[in-house]
Amino acid sequence: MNDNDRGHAPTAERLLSVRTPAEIAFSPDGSRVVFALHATVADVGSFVPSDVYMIEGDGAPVPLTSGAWSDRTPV
Amino acid sequence: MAFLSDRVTPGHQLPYTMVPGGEPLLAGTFAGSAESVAWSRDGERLLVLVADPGCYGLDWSARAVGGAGPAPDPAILRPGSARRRLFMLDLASGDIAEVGPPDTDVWEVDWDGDATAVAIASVSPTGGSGWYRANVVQLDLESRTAHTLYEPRWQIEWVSLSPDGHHVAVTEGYASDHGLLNGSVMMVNLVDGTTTDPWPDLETVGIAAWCDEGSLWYARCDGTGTACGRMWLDGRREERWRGAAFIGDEVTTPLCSVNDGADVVWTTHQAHGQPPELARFDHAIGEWSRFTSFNDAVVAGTVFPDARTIRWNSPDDGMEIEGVLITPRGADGPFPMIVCVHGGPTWNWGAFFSDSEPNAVLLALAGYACLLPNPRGSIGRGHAFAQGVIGDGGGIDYRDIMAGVDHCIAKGIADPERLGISGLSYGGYMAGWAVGQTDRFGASVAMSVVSNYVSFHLTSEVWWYDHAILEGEWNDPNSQYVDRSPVTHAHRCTTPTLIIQGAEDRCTPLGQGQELHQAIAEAGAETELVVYPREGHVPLERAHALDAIHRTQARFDRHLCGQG
Repeated sequence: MNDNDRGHAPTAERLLSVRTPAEIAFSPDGSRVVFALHATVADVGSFVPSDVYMIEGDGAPVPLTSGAWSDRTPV
Repeated sequence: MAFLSDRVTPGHQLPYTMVPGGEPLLAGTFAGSAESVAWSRDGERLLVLVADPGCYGLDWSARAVGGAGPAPDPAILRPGSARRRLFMLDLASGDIAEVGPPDTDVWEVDWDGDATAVAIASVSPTGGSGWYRANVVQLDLESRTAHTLYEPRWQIEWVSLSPDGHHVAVTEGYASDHGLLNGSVMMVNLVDGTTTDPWPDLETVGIAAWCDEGSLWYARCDGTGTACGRMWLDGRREERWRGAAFIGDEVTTPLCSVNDGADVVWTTHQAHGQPPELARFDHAIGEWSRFTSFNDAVVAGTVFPDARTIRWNSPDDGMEIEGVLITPRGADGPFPMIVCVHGGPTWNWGAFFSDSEPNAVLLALAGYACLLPNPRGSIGRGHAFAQGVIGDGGGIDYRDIMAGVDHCIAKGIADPERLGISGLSYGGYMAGWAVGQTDRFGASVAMSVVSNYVSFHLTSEVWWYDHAILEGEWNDPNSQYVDRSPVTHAHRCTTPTLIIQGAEDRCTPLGQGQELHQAIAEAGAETELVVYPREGHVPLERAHALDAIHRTQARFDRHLCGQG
């Protein structure tokens, strides 16, 4: 391995900052999906935060909620 | 849209409604915490599944479910005093009525929004062990009664009503824990009352989602990979994709979400070096197209260790065993090697972005080889393999694991003088068990351990687990409850052992860590017990998670590499 291949190694801090899209649900007409974006750990308190997002067609995901709390299980 | 939120009281989930782009509106309040919500067809009511305060938490923390107020003082426990209940919430009036059957725990519900509701429900035992003996039932929400449709041999999850209301799909298999089940898709016919397995060759499905009234889209474990495809009620099946990635939002359960007709299929996709992102299935080429980029900053310019699946043979019966091997990038062994044992035992190591507890990616970056074995008891290989640990936990699976260690030594991957072992939950059990069986490991890190099956049975919420995996009864001193407990053999321990436990864990209670710690201390071996306040089965506060990662590596650095 040479220095050009080395890049930078992931750290514990960075791996714990991964967010996982989950709980995907379709709208009744199938044109939109909503989902929750879960954090891996809680930076505040003991409960892992989560936000709700929506995708319409091929568009980019749009946050519908945000905050330090856990918004989840959209239907 | 409806969703759940704990924005009023942390950990206390309540149902909200919201027009996309608008503000969330609290739909109703409950003493307990909501776990799922479903719409009526007319959009005027919500069916809400609520866990009473004190119920066993079904998230990975396994803490007690919280309520709107402070924890009761004093806490008083009575069998059946905390249940999972169904309520109907009228959005216009705000009226709430309990509609589930009394004296019953409802673990999951699926509702057509009108007259038909099906559920996974249990009457006894009460508490967290009730799930292990749950049935598929049809609910009458008016009379609050339940009619049993199917009494399974094993555990069940993921109940799902067909679009025409004629069938109910449910996944069945042996599972050591709720949320870890992979198995067969059983089909309950609501018209004639029969239950069949139309796809007997499919034994590793996580979840099957209805495409239309005659077909479903399944996602399954496939060894250390996953696969998915479509299957029809007449027994036909077409596998559309399989590969070295994990599909599903929880790394325990393969899952895809489909629209009507399955023209559009979404999943959460991850693999070694690829963090979890939403992906859409491209039917034309039979591949996943990763769609979102929430974690680009985590992986930008990042070099990950090498990962590959390896296989070896069991010394017992020659059975091929497999596992994931993660090694420092581009480097050759022999390395100091950490055996990372997964939890469950009904789980497996797969193509995960960041293998957790211990974090094998970070250990490999620090110079260790990490062997992540999938011994007997693991999922992904069918029912017989998953059930192979029943009656022999700590036996055949331990020997499968040690054969993997020997394989890695023989292949020049592992340095036999620098071996460590670690794991969480059943992995913690194995890390505590191994140090009483062998002195080959130079260090052990056991998280959220089971150390004494007798006291585990009497203090854990999920005591049905030991009832299923062990032979004999907890009050029989000659049973496996004693013989297969790590504390029974800890007097032989010479291995420095770090034990990490959450103070609020109701799966593997704190006492399990305390017992192993004391037993090893009395044996004269080095041991340390670390207890995280407020935490359950898995540390979820960033400071605790970081501490566990760093403390684990420091332990191995010190005892295997002479550092620190």
